[in-house]
Amino acid sequence: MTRYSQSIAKNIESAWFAIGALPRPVFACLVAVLWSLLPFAACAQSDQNVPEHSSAGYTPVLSGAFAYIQNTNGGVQSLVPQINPLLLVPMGHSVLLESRVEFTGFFQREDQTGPYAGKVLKTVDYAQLDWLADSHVMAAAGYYIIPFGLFSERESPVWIRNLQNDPITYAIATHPDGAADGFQLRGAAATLPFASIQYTAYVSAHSNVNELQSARSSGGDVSIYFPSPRFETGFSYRRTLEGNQINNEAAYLSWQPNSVSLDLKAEYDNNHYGQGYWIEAAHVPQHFFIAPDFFHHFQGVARMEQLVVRNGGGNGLATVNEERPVFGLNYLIRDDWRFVANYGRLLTKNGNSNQWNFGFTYRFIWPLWPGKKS
Amino acid sequence: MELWIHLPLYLAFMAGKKVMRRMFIGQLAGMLLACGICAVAIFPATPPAAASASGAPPAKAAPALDPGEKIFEQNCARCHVPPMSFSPRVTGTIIAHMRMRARLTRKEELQLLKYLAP
Repeated sequence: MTRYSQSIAKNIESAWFAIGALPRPVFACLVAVLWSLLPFAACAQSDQNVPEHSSAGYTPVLSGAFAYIQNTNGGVQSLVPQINPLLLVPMGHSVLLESRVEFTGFFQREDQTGPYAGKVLKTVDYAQLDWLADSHVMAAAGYYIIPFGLFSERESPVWIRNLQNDPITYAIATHPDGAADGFQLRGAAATLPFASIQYTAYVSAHSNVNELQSARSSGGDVSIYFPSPRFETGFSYRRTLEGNQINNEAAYLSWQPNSVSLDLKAEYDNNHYGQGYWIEAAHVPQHFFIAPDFFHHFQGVARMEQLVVRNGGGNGLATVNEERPVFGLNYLIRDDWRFVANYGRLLTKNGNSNQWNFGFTYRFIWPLWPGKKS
Repeated sequence: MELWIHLPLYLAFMAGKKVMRRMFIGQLAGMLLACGICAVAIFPATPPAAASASGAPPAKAAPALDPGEKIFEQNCARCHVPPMSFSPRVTGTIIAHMRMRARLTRKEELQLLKYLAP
């Protein structure tokens, strides 16, 4: 390495440590990962020459979902209407501003027998600026969902999740807000004929700004996906760099076999306060022997969850060990309308309880501006 | 050491010992996972067909898939039901959003655009 490049590296490193964001070993690892990605980024330039013959337009979009869930937890009934608007504002082909907000009503009977009363909670899920910089490198800055495990980024939207309850291990690494203020790099590090290796690396700063709260942390995710058998496995890591500086780890897999109408997902999470797993299977009866046209709109789901607390638990997790089998039955009226029903039984040494959810979800996609029409 | 430790797993499960139940369920899950992985390794993968959803319907044998359709089946359809109607003027925006989420390459994005908004 020349004196000039050494000087630049030293300056960057000292600037980084000046803000106190990362310890030296983590910084070194991050730099090593980024340097290792550079060859892939250079090779990716050739992909930019793929001709575009598409009528696709880039108009701002308001997407998201309406949902209404009637929840009964241990005999206590709650009415939970939700609106989750997702705003997408493209700036050319490579820059995208996106933000998702949740308005969730939470209404319960006063004293178990009176009229329903409650309030509407509003939360910002994320608000980030994306730069699709290259075929294999994308960057995001702002308030983003922590890319940890399978559930937080991919399965959490109400119109996607198969079961309405979060897994009992969900708070591991995502407590308290599930999002972080900072920037991240992500993309496909290598795309091979038989597999794709994907990565995410991120850092976040401490923030007390209302609705945008986050902890100082850093982490990443690496996964390998085999498209032919539709099998993916990956590993996530997050280290919080304030308070009790703890490590969080997750390992996950996802498999949709080609020969069977089955969707298998599983995740193992671990941190200082607890460890646990969830394993979920969803099945759509495509060729049911009676009225197949009717039954192929159904989706049966089963999920087993287990949490083993450590050091007293808490920090978003329960304080005693928990197990919960959950079963669900969804009916897809159309691609955007869905009825959902699920039942779970929470098993703890403090007592067991039944959890029921009934309701519907509706997904919408509305253009906000006149655009190219085909 | 307690007597029930020497029982076959299924008898212990029926007898209601909690620890043995966990062992039994854990071993069953492990065996199912191992069988699944073996099945993937043994049986050749068929190209996925039209409709997939979060329930991941099976792929039917199809003569030849559009590259964009193949990418949709192998990536998007793992979580999404294929949209019945999708205005071309929002397709670019939606695909850019999904490219960020699913960590797709630029080439895959363009093939998806050509498939969803030809």
